[in-house]
Amino acid sequence: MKDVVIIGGGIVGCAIAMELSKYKVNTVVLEKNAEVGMEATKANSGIVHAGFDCALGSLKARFNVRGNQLFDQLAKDLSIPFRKNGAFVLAFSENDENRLQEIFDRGVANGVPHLEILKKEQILKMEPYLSQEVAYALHAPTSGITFGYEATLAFGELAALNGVDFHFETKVCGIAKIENGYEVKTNNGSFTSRVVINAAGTYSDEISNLINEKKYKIRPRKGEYLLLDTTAKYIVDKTVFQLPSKMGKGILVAPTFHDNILVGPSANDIEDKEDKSTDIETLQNNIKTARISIPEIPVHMVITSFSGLRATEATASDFVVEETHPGFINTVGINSPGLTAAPAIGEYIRDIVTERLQPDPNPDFIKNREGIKFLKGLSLDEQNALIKTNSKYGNIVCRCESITEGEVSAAINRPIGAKTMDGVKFRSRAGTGRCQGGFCTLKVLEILSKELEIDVSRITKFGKNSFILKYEGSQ
Amino acid sequence: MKKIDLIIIGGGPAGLSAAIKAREEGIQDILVVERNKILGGILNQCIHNGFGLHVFKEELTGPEYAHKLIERAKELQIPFLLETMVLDITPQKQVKLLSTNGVETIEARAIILAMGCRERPRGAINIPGDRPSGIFSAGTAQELVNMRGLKIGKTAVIVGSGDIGLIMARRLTLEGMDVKAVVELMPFSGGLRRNIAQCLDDFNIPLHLSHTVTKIVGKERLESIIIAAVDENRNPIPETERLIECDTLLFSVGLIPESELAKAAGVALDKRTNGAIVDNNLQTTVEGIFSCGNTLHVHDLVDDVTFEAYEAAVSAKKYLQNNTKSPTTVNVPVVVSGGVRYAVPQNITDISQELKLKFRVGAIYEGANVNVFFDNEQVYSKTKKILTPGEMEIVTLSADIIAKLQNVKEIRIDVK
Amino acid sequence: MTIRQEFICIACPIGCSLIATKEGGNISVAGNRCRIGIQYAIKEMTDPRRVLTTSVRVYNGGNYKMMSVKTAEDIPKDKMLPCLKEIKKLDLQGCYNVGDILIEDVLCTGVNVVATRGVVL
Repeated sequence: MKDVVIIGGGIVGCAIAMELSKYKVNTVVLEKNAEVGMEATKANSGIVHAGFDCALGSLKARFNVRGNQLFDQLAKDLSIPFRKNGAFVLAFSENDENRLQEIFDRGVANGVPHLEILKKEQILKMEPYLSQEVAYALHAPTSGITFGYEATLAFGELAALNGVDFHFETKVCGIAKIENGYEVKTNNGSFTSRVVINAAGTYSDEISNLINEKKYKIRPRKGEYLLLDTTAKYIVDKTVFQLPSKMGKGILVAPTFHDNILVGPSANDIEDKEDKSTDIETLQNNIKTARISIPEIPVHMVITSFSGLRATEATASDFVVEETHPGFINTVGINSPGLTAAPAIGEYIRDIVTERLQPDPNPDFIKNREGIKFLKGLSLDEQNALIKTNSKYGNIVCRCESITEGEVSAAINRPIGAKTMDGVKFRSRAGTGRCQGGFCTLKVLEILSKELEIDVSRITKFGKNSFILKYEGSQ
Repeated sequence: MKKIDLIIIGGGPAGLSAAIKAREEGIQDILVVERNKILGGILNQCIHNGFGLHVFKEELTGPEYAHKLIERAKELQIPFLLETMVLDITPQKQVKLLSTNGVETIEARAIILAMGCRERPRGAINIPGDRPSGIFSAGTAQELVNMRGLKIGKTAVIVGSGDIGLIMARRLTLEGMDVKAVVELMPFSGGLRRNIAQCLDDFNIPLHLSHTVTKIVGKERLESIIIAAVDENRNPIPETERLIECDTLLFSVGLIPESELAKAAGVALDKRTNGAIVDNNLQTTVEGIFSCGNTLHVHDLVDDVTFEAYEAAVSAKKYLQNNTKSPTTVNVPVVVSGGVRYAVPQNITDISQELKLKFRVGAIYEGANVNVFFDNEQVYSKTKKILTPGEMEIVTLSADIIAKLQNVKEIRIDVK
Repeated sequence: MTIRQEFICIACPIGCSLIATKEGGNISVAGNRCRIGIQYAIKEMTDPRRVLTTSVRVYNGGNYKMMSVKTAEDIPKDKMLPCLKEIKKLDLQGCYNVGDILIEDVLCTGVNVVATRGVVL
């Protein structure tokens, strides 16, 4: 019998796994996809929110502010890309000043440090491409940007380095109470454990409903984004919000950690949890709304659009984090600011679990995790040294991002290694540039085939039947 | 730091042609840098015929055209580096190279940019829908099929009727795939007419002009797409929507010059071509850096690329010989008006030679007049039966006419 | 009897719109800009032909490389797919040069299938 089964390998599941790996707790993570973080996590904006807009006294406020505090150290320890670029909430008329003041007050009450309200001249001095119509802005210097997928990997890999087992393409279909614990049934056999943690994101309702009386319903809130080429990075350095609405934080314009510009997300409640499509009207509306903040968004620099589903619970306005039965812990409705909150949720749940299991600390706990070594950004001498030890770094794969076979191969051979094209893309950034994989698709296919020792026709984009080539074995 | 007279970046048709001409012109110290394992660039995957009528006076396939250039380059003992990527070029013409041997910087006295172009990705045109597998740019599909012999699917639709899209429609059909349609947003094809005849008509593949894909359907592998006719503003007409089942979708929606290195070197770019701004010596705004082929502007015919590369090589020779900027006698900008979308070169600096003004129109013109003005004086006029955006046009102005540029403020090319 | 057919000339990138008219044994061609257009239209009307290009695997040990090939001249249009099948049957190993004959007189067309790219292993 395991000590803990975590259902879901997104940012929340991985953060919990990492926290539990600090103890002598025998943990497994069950992930239905072929890679970690392939649902809401991968479509995250990467913003590490300051925490000014969460309702006072809510779990969101608590975990957001705590999560934001934790990110600095985590970034250092786990090689997570992180930069505190600061955020603006823009107000365009004198009337909006009151609403801005409300947010300011709430932020202060939530414990967000260094908030200030700035006037037009100060704002435009900091961000010259913002609309001349701007009147006031709330400035939150603790707001940051990370790369959500890398953060998830970092948490997951640290957990894996400290002994947590990850089972991929393992979908939970039943949970039964047994003596001293639970039996979790999957397509890959059963797992028994003393504690079960539901971190299933968009599917957290279905997992919870397998065992709990109280029924949840996740009503995914779709967010569609446009991604601009890095050459557009001049337009903004801070994360720029407009005043929030009932549906969320509204359309933002923000740099990503890798110097692209994000425009979005939209917010539409939908029924289908697999619906990650984008549509023209929504994307056009993103641009239209974003132009209120930054009138000259260079639309011709759009390189891709994508969407993700926030795991929004139909009636809950706050995160649901609860122990519903002894040893069954739910995280339900972890929508925004889920990424920022994840490390704090991890801590919180770790405390519930250790309270129950009373485990010893893990004396061999490995505290640091190295990321993939990237050639780009190193000094000339460092580059030459790297190529000398590993000549794969001299073989370019992705021209747009200057990614070599070294990074791609490393992505596949990590503690949690890539098994799919998307897995390689998210880890190594090969295929994320201007040409969107035009030049490197074949190269990545062949490296995956070689490293995983499987035929190219079996390589998928993201698991299941998402074969890149014609696969005779599929229907 | 190692120094070389002329570094040519790219070993495709433009780079090879430039290298050959440069050596023939007497430049001894040349280096061609190619990122792939083999020379020849994109020609290697263009296994169809139709190349070389003008340069070699015979109809060749892409690999044969490349082979002829490579053989000539070898004959001339032109040094080249394979599997070597140029990471950076500085305005001082220091070229940073990456290979399995490490990173090395070489200083060039002159550089010819010949990096070719890349395909416009799907995201850039924002086709909505799912994000399944089975979606390729036409060039990627061409590489998978022709260079690796891989099967990419069973049934396909091709978006965009540029030449690569048309060629791939035939290619996939020959490889046993069922190509259901080619869908083109514009009311005309972006490809050569002969390719519509021999790639689509020969195989009864329908071409839907003024149509677009309104949705991509498929959670894992592509399952189907929805297409619709578009109105004159290119907006889809909802009542015309219909579903086509397919597991493969190819995008052939245009090419863009590879300009990252030009940008790094401080070369000014033309927003219309996305390539460098050049004078009539094909010199960019950075002294001693020349540009030719698809990295300068996208060409339809490789023969034109070769000729342009020859010009760049001759200019580089002159530059190296004078050890200074090419003799600037004037500085006359070329402006476009009427139906002209772009023209290359963008500036005239040298009035000692004839001028080949290359241009493209933005829409189809039948029976249109192509006029060239020196300020208000008309110096060239010709009626063209048909002008299409898919075909680059060349206006040649003789050295006698160019000599008149001395006191001219601008050259204007116009289509009406 | 008069037969009138329209073609797009594939002889060069211009792609002239040709109109071929057959009256008795005579074929007249209009719309062409050069002599090749006349030849093309007559051929297209009486004996349509195409050059076939494809690529084939060349094996060496466990690995393969792709080699591009073509029919050295155009072949009857209706022989394209049968010829393609013949080419697919090839079992190639070792090294090849551009122009090497891979199939002589493919399907009695009088045309050879030749390599258009060399393969060095």
